[in-house]
Amino acid sequence: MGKNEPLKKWEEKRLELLQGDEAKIKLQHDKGKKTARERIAAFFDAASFVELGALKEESGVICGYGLSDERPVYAVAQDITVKGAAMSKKQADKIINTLSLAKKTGAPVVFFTDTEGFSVKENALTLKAFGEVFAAISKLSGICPIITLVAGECCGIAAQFAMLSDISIAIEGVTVLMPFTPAVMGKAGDVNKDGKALGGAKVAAKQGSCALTAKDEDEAIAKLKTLLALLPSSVENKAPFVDSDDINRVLSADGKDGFKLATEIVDNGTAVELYPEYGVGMYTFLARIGGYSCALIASEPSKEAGRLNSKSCKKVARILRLADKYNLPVVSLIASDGLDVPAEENQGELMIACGKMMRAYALARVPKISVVYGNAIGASYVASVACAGSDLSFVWPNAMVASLTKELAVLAFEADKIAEEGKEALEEAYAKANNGVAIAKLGLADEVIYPSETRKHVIAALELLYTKR
Amino acid sequence: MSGSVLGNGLSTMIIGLTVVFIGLILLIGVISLMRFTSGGKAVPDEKVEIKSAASVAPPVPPATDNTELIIAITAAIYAVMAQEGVTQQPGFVVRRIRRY
Repeated sequence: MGKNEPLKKWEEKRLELLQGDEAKIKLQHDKGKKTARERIAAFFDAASFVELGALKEESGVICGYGLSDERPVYAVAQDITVKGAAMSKKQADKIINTLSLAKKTGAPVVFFTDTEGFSVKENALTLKAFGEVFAAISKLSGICPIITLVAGECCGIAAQFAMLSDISIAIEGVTVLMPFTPAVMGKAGDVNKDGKALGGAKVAAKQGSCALTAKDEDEAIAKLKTLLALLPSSVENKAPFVDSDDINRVLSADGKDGFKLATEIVDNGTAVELYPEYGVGMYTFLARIGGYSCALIASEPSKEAGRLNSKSCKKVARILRLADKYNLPVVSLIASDGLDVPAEENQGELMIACGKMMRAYALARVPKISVVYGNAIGASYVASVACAGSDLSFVWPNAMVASLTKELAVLAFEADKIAEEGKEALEEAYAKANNGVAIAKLGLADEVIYPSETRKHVIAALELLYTKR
Repeated sequence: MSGSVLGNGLSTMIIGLTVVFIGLILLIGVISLMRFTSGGKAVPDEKVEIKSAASVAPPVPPATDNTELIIAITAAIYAVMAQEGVTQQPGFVVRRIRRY
């Protein structure tokens, strides 16, 4: 036996592994899906991926590290062509080893989940395997960013891969993300629907179980890369700084459209919106402002009656926790009439969600900048400015901060004067008495700013708060 | 001989000092006279002006109204500037903070 014989054998084996099972690969392609290896090739910089534990055969998962846009990233890609990528002790060991290495070296982890569930042969043992993997993910989140691309079926307990990640992406026509298998869910709902209709990307977006959706796998990988560019490699680092837009650019937004204002404030008008179809009264973005990667929260006064409901509160709480984990400054643009009046059976849920948002605002240790650009009534001001303890708070001159909207306040406090002075005149006087200038005088805002200069002031605040401890 | 030189020196010094001090005293007198003549008349004039202004002018508007007026005027200026294609506004300018 020659010296190079073992190496030769290993090369042959590696080739066999790389080629995979042709019939199963064809089946995957027929479903309009990439294989795990194709996903890895599409995501990493050319020839940069190093596979770890490749010889641990039949684990149904490919783990390793490589460079994505020249930054180190770890990948865990479930390979459904091998044993249905079912969770087993072997698979769990490989995943946990990879996560452990990511923790030690401080680099993000991306999951490509595509699994048929758990190994029937191991049965109860897989419960331990799942538990250990999910514990490792939970412990890593907050140290290194974890993003999951739900690239196939991810049903039952496996759905927690997406839930425990910091950000998850669903793909139209590919993702099936459900707490049970389609067969069980279909039966429970007594409806004849397939997995994609019951738990596809559209459902995930609407119910907030995935932060982003993509039309196909290529778009999903592009979004994954955009997200990673906005996040630090680990909690020890700051997110990459990219100076690409005029820091003294003035705005034209008038505050009637929260989306327009938000996208005008960010660099080059580009931002990644998280949970765009969930809790639509609030926008949550990851974006650069003045080159700094930030979490941007913006009210949309023209949607959901300009009020906060339990979904929008939860959505805000999520991005605040994400920002706090990864040292991203939080910029809040506020124009909300406070909490929505809920149906009787939903009042508990609304209060709990509002509490989650307040707690997340209060506990976030990152720089917090608030801009009241419209009404900041009741809970919206309490949470976003007061409870948050904004490091710097700005207000537009014509904004209004009060405990009640002008319509309600006039009805509640000045009903007897309506006949004599007129409802509109009273409302106008109330708005004037609580406008931006008046509330700044009360010390409820640090500075009254011109709407057109909002971006400049936010950037100046980010510059100043860069060294916040 | 030496006594006469010393005497001459002393007398010159005394004459010099006397002339200088007389000049200074005269200057003080002139300045005090100027203050008396001009200041004495101006004070009552100012008082009259203030009284007349107070009696004619409308009541001073509250501070909030002033602020709103300033905001409105500035907004109008900005609107005109925008029409003329001027996008850079005067006033606040952001600068990068140098970090060492």
